[in-house]
Amino acid sequence: MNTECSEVSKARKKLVAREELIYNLTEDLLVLLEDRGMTKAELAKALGKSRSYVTQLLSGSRNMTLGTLSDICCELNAKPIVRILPNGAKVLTYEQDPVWLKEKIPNIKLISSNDFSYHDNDEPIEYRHLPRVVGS
Amino acid sequence: MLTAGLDHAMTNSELQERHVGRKFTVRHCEGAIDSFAKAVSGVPKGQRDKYQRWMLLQIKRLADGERISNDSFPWEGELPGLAGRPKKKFRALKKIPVRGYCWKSERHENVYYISHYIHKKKNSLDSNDTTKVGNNWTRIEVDGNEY
Repeated sequence: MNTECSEVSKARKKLVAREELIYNLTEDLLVLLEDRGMTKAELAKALGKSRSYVTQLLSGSRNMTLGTLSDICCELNAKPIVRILPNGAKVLTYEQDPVWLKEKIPNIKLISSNDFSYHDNDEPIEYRHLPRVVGS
Repeated sequence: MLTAGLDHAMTNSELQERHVGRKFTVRHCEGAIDSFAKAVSGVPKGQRDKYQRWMLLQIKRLADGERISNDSFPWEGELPGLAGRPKKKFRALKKIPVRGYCWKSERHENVYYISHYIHKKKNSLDSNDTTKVGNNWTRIEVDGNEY
């Protein structure tokens, strides 16, 4: 019985994790599409696909390959960054000021101009720079 | 600061009266959660849970202050407005065919209120829904009810 419950709970966790990833990714793409002033029909044309195909991708009802994600980002003049973080890792978001981070965290490691990460007591902590698009 | 991994609220997948995020609190008006059950009764039984999880993801994104596209969070109709001040609009958290009408409170800082949910495929706004949002808005923003 307990094993059965644990299997159901594991399956549910997987399902929720999958939906969360799909929802947030497609929503990020929709926001970027709007920032670029591009319609779904225009994106479909640029990709050489039908409008309904793009609509299904961006509504999360059709699976997207990493290749398709890369193609869409290319058309939107953006770069997707995929990161795998262990559960429990602390993620610092764009709300946090990088200058403040540097003052507070002396061992912070600069990865690129907008990207920081450091390890504290073996706990990986990353600064995730989220694109804030202003204009095109 | 975010922590990687699913939080309990997501695995629980139940709509709560109050969802507290990194930036905002999203609250359901009285009767709103019940209206969700009615709104999803129009979708196939096997998909109702999925719609609830999807709505929770939208609420979480809103509560965390992350941007939501106009596609998923369109402007809908006008709120009644306070005397001498311009009227503001309300929006809808949308996952076709389910919509949850909501507004950002002026009385309570950093709080969004979800008035009610409906099942609707067309884009045009029903005047009954505008009235219902307006009544909830007046109850909370003018009369001072909690939710």
